Amino acid sequence: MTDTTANPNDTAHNSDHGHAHDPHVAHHFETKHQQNTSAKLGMWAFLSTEILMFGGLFCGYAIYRANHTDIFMYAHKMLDMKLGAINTVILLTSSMTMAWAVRAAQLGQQQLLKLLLAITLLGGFGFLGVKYVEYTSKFHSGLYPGARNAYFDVEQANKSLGLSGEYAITPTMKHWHIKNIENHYFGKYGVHWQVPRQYQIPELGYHPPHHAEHDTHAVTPAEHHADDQAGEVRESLTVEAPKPGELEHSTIAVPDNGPAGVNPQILKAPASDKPEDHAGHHILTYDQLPELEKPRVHHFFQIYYLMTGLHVLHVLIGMSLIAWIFVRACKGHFSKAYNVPVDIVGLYWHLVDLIWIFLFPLLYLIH
Amino acid sequence: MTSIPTPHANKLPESQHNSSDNYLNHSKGFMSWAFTVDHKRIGIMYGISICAFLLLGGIFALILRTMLALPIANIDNHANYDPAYLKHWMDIYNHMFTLHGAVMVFLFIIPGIPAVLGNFVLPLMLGAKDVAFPKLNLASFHIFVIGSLILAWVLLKGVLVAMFPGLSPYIGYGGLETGWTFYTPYSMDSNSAVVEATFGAFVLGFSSILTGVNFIASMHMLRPKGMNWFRMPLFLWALYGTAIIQLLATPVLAITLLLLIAERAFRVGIFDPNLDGDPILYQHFFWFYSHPAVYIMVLPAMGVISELVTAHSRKHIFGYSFIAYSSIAIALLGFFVWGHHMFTSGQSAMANAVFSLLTFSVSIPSAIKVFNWLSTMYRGEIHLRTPMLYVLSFILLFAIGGLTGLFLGALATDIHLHDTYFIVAHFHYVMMGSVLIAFLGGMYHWWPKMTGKMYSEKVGKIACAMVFVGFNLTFFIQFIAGSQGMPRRYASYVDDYMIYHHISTGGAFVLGTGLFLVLFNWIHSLLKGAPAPANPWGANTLEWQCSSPPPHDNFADTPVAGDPYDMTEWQYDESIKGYVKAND
Repeated sequence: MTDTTANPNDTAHNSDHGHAHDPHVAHHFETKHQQNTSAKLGMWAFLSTEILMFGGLFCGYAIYRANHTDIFMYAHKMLDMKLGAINTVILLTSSMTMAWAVRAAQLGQQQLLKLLLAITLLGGFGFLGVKYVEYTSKFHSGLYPGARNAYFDVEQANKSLGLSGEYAITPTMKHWHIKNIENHYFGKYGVHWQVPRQYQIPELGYHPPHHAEHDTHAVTPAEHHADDQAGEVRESLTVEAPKPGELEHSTIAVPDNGPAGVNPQILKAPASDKPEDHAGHHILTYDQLPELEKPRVHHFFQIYYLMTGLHVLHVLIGMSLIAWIFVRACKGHFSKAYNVPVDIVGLYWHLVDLIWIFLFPLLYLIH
Repeated sequence: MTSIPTPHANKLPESQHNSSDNYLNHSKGFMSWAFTVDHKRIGIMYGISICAFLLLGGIFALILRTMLALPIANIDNHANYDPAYLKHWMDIYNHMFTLHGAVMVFLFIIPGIPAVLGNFVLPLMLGAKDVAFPKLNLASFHIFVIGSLILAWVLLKGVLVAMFPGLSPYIGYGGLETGWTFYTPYSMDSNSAVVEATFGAFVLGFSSILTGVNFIASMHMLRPKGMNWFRMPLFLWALYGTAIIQLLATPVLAITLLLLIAERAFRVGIFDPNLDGDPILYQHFFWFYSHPAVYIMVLPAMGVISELVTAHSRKHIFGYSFIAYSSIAIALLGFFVWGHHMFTSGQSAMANAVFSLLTFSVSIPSAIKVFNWLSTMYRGEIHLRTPMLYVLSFILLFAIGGLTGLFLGALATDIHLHDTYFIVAHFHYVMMGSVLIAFLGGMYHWWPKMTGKMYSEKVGKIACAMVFVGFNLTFFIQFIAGSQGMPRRYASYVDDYMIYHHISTGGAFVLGTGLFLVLFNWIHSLLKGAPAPANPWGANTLEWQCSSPPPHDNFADTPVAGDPYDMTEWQYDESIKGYVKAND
């Protein structure tokens, strides 16, 4: 007798112990129900480890966000909320098709099962595609993971680490001045929320300069007038993003009035008392960050890359599993009587979805 | 092999299970072992690799103890040595204690009892044919092998670079000198193979997780008729508690080590204070796994002792449900005490007090177990066989290890004892004095079942005595050295501490000799041992109801379980030197 296995696909074992066995039930299980329940129990147990693994990252996130709130407020705006939202929709949809596929497998609807698995897999590819666009746009702006990140203070790091010569950390994107990144991202899509620069963060003891002459932000001169309260807060979706060559010197035309629907009371509030934009968001520029926090801005991007990177890895694993299930479905392995693998892979895919549901607001939608 | 009329043996078709067909000779060849899904063979393969790592870690231990006993370790003699040579010597010492710790923790103690004894015994105790997921079990063994090969590469690289320094520009530096804890910031600066070693530990963690998943599913789904949760052998309760920790703590280590690798490889600045990272966060993450990991080590050891003490006292276990619940209590409480490793690292006073209180609370379920074992022995028919001697050693050593833990859990005394030899002695009493002793006792206890051969009681008892004496010589003196102020992990010391180190090193060699004698006994038993009866101890757990060694399929029909500790069901039969069912 060959070694028998738990894989129901291997029906090689002979019934050497008397009673006839369902070919889908491994020799050490008595009933199919026992085997299916075991498989699901095992998967749930494994998923708990995945939660705990991401739990470490979420814990790290919470600690860094609590200790360095300003950095998160400042840096998260460079993430693309729209792309994040698109990805959320894609993943939620694929999770739905996956759940539907599990149902189809249980009902023995072969064609529907294949179709739904294919759509789910497509959703995975869509997610990765959007992620690719996001990552490359970050890279182009010098927002790399690790020491190449434009916010990473290479000189300071080499000094504290005592590195020099061939061991020294060498930046490759040093020409990307942080101002450029800021303009690039805050100017893009017209959501330049960094407008009122008179505001202060008293609890941090920071007093920004009254005259922002060193500021190269793309703002209208009118904005520097404290009296021009209507111009303090801009919601300028109508404004086009600056062309790459214009980043440093462009002036974006900002409408004097707030957008339709914005409460005029908010628009008229004195700027110095309102360290928030119309949506109640904290608004910061790099210059306004406390000096101690400036070298730490890259932490946000490190956490972003670690969390989304590990998540992308899970998406890849999930997609491989779905592809495996899809091939097996095409071979007609699943039936009303035997469909546990679809169920198990479905559970994994829902976990991937679940983690993203937490990542999206924590990274993109910070208030 | 044996003529014992075991319940199933009569029912088996002759063609499949005659008396000579067992799992050891069922199929032949390297592949039939390396890719088997039979839990018994996987357990044996784990056993061989883990004993090899015990030997390796033991060699490192003997080297570092020898280094500490040499005159060069005495600071008074340092003037006689070239400073460059001294530095080199101390570097080697750093590598030795780190590798000793890393090999012993990640490759011996953590996988030890669950992977070897658990894998072999768990399905047999459940009357099952295998664990719930046999393929996953094999995968977890293969992952273990890959992880240990990565750690072996760290060692090999260290040796290579030491022998041929010209290689280091090409393959980097080898070895490991950060201490097994990989604390930042030193693990960021160290010129050793930190990334490879942490990746190896990361891979080993997956092996541990998958074993835990397998055990939990097996215990939930494969219990036979008649075995409800409270008729489950206590070893399985202990393994259940262990599996919970493996599931919930190991992934946190995984993410910690990934972050450490990212930190070292890309300088992300999460843990490294030079990059505005938080080194204390690393300690929190690390101990959130590594303290529960102490219970991954010790819980199965306690389970083994629960089985052994009742079998060799020929008496029903005392306080079954207390022992069972205390396993789960230890597993859960173990998650909330990690901060006691960080009393002196700048935690808030409030956190220190809470962690101290919770630490003391773990002693309650631990003490419950000890009292129940003692009560089990009370008025029992104690057979002082080798496994029972290990039980007695365990109880004594665990009591010392546990009680000295109270000194360290108390905030005031910990300030004095922190990072001294006192703590070295404490955790060796718990990890080695308890886990290794229980592992050896369990190996002796199930040896007849695993191999079908009896071992020599005489050699076994001598070896046990040597291990016991050697262990106490090595480590008891370290309590005194530590309370006198000898810091841990130092390569040298002032003259006052010399006597402690000399005694300790002497004890280490006695201990090492005892362990070699154990190995000799096992090998001798394999070659020349008498055939083992199916049930040499008269224990009533199900694994003793199949022949020794068990047939390939364990049980033809799932046996019906009764009270696992009802010793009255078995009577000694002189003719086979084993126990037979009383009613047969």
